[in-house]
Amino acid sequence: MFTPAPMYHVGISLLSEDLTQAGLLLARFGYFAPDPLREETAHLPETPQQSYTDSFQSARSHLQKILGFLKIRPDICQPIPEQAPGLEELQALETWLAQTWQQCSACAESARHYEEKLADVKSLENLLHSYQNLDLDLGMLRRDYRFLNILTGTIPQENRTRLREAIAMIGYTLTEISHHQGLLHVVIAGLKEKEPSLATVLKAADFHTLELPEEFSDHPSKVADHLREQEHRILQEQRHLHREIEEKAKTYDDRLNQATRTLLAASGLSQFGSSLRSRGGLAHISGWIPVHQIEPLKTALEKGLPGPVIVEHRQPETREQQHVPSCLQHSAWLQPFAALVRNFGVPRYSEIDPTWFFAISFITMFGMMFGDVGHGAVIFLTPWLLPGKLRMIRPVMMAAGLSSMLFGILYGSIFGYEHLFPAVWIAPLSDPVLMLKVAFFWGVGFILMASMLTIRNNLVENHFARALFDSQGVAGLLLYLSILSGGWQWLEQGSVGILNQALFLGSLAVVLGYKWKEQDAPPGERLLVVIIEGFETFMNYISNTLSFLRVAAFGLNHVALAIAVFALADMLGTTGHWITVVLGNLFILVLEGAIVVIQVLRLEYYEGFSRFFRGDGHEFQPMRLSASDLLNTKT
Amino acid sequence: MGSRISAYAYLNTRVSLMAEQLLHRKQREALLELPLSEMQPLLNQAGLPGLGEQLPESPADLEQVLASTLINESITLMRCMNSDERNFIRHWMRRLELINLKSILRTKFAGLQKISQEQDLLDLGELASLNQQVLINTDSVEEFLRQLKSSSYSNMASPARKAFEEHRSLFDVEATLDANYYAQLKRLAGALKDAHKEQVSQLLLSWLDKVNLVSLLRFRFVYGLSPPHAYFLLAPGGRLLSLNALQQLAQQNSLTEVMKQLPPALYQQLADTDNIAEIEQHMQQLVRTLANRILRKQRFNMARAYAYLYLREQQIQLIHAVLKGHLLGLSPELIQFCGDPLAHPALARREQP
Repeated sequence: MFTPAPMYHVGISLLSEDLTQAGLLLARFGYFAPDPLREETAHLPETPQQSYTDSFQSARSHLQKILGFLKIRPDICQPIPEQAPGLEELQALETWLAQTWQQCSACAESARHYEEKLADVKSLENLLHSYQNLDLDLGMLRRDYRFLNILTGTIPQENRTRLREAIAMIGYTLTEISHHQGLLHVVIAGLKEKEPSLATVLKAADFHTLELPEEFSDHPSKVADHLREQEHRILQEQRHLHREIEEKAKTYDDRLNQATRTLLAASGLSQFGSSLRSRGGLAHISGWIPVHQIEPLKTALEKGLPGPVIVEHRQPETREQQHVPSCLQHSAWLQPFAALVRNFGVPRYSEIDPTWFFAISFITMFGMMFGDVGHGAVIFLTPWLLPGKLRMIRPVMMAAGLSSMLFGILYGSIFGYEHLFPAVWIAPLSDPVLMLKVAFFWGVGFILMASMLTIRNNLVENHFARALFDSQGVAGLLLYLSILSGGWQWLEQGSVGILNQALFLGSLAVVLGYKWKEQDAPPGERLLVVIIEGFETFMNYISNTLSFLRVAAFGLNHVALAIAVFALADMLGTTGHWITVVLGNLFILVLEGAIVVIQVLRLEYYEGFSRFFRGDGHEFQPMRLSASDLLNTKT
Repeated sequence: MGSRISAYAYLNTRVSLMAEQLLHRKQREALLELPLSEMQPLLNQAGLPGLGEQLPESPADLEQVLASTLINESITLMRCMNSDERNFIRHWMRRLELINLKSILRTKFAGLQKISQEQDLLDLGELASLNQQVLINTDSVEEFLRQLKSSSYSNMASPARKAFEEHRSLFDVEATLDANYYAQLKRLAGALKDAHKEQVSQLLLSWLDKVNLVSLLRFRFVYGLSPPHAYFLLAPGGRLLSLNALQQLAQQNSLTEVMKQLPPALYQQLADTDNIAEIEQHMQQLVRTLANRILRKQRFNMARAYAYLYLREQQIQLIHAVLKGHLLGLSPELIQFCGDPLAHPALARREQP
């Protein structure tokens, strides 16, 4: 419960011809995580079943594309075959899928082609808008005449009059066709012999020539009809294509569902990766398995494989601790808390799994900082309204809501009202100093607990010197205790006892000595680093403890905010009063609630996890038969 | 000025620190001549101590180590930049992704699907913007281009498809992808502000001069393309070679004629050259000189970061050529030629068609 499940390293020796079936059995078994072979590779030089894996990957990629294109969602509830497909069956499936995809790809290409054609027609229709007022054959504007020069193009609207006057001087005319966003669409016509003089004027007037497309070879209305006709034809072809695709989807639905199941049965082998090697007809697979699953694994393999199989297991060796996956098993209500822990990191195999510690301290601190029966009840009930995946956070919200209600009873607070029922323990604002003291001692307890977990983790990983002498070890813990007791003595008696001074100096000397030993630098630099790090250790313990005063501060802040809301509400009439109370409570719930969550997470991650939790382990990911893995294009 | 100093102080310091890794001319020459066993101090100086201790097992691993070094440095520098500057540098670095893209495209033209993301393509880490596996899984060039259309390279997909439909040749599609890449790079440089824009454009346009001149010569006299076809495939105009100048050059019928038509400033620099490899080396030297000048003379300007990345890439290419030569057991003469073709002009001439 407090550490990842104990694991065995497993070596499975079997005949190469049984590998596909072994893949299916192990994936169906669901507790075997492949482990890349590191040392035995010289004795086992071959990578078997490469053609099987290649065929599987190719078939899988085609299946993904076909299902995506035909918008088919395979029925994953159907049973997966008991036998993994043989190479021939798989290759036949691969060929069929490749051919089917070729047909689909041709449809996709046609769809793209129609879309492009449609976009072209649309852009021509837009362009034609500029010419629709002209009562002439647009082909005339495109033609090259012997004596006549005709140009179409745009000019800035403000240049219209001046250009018309200027070109009139050389016998040219300007006809406006349309205007759009400050630009005027014009046709300029005149004698060709005057063209050289026209060019300079047009440049000065910022004239831009527009080439008319070939399709504009008739009267605008007829061109528009023609374009509409084209558009209609393309849309018809598109509809026809969509029908064709739908029919394909119907035709292939059963076969594709069957293909999905066959590929699922074949998927086990490809999950072995580099954990599988062979020599001749013998193959070897290595991996990790939870201790309690070793006998069921042996039984499953012996029963399910036609050939002989040898399953060997052993405890993880010290040198391979970093490779052992962490198998974390949590009940359903703890899952969202585990997700928040994973957000920081995955515990190492031998490390304490901090999920319980996190869950309890998170719930407690949230309640202390947001104690209110009414607000807690709302937080408790809200997750029932959450849709879809958000329901996953239901246990966190319900636990936080319950904690908030419990502290609300202790504080005597409901929706900010402090007088509706008596506080079982204390109304926060009646004795803020007591609240701060409680938060202080909570912080001390939290840091002591975190330090002890650090010492435990170091001892388990055989880092004895670090566990004893480091600033996070026993010496650091004694230093912290001497600081606390020294501070208490100073406050109570005005002086610090000799024993306490000795404890402080002794533990500090051990911590500094350890840091000195750990440094690999010239003496000057070493001294500087040790002094700075020693000072940092001292300051960190103090500042981290004081950091927990925010637990009390937010408890007080909650009451203060409620007082502010009621002060505002009292200034208004009855209706305004209740509207302000409701909106004020909503404001407190949403804004303060969010801030409290962030602050609690900060305390957990920074003051807690950074102290004792390395989080650089890797999760136990067993082989499995998963349709979502099979159809996920990202892998 | 004050705000520029405060805004670029960190970037400036970063670049100055990184620039310490750049090898001087004599060190570069020594790198070409030294045996592998004596290279450690130079590789340490170049910020690649791991390579001096043990060479990667394969040329592909070596390439990945060097590419990752360059990518990580560019990411470090990008963190100190504003969004326009970051966009420019990211696009500049995406030339590596374009190499991956073209590698996949080649397999589609060859009708193969066997390319492994891990073994055959560079891992671009945080710089990657493409789902390469989706492109690898395509069965044809048409499907590849359809997938490209829905990727971050969508703006390149349409012109590439037009080129494919018109010519059905890998060369044209690749050249179109390149031309669009350069055009986008020039647009992003245009979005920079003030002195940054001026200095970055200066270096970028000089580099485009090199790209355009060398490409033009190859298109015309090695691949035998017609003048309009060769001109059409070029990048946007550079500093000394505008589009008009390139149009003129494309119409010449021999390398000598092209040289005569070069702008005087460029002709002076290239007067002694008579083959494409030499021209490429000289042009590269001109860009390097400019990048060095920007790196040494400019202060609190992002162009320094760009100049550094350019010079660093050049050096990493040199180190790659030398180490790969040793890895493959090539002769010292050939390794020197790979690192600096001008060291053995006779070999360079033999490369010409």
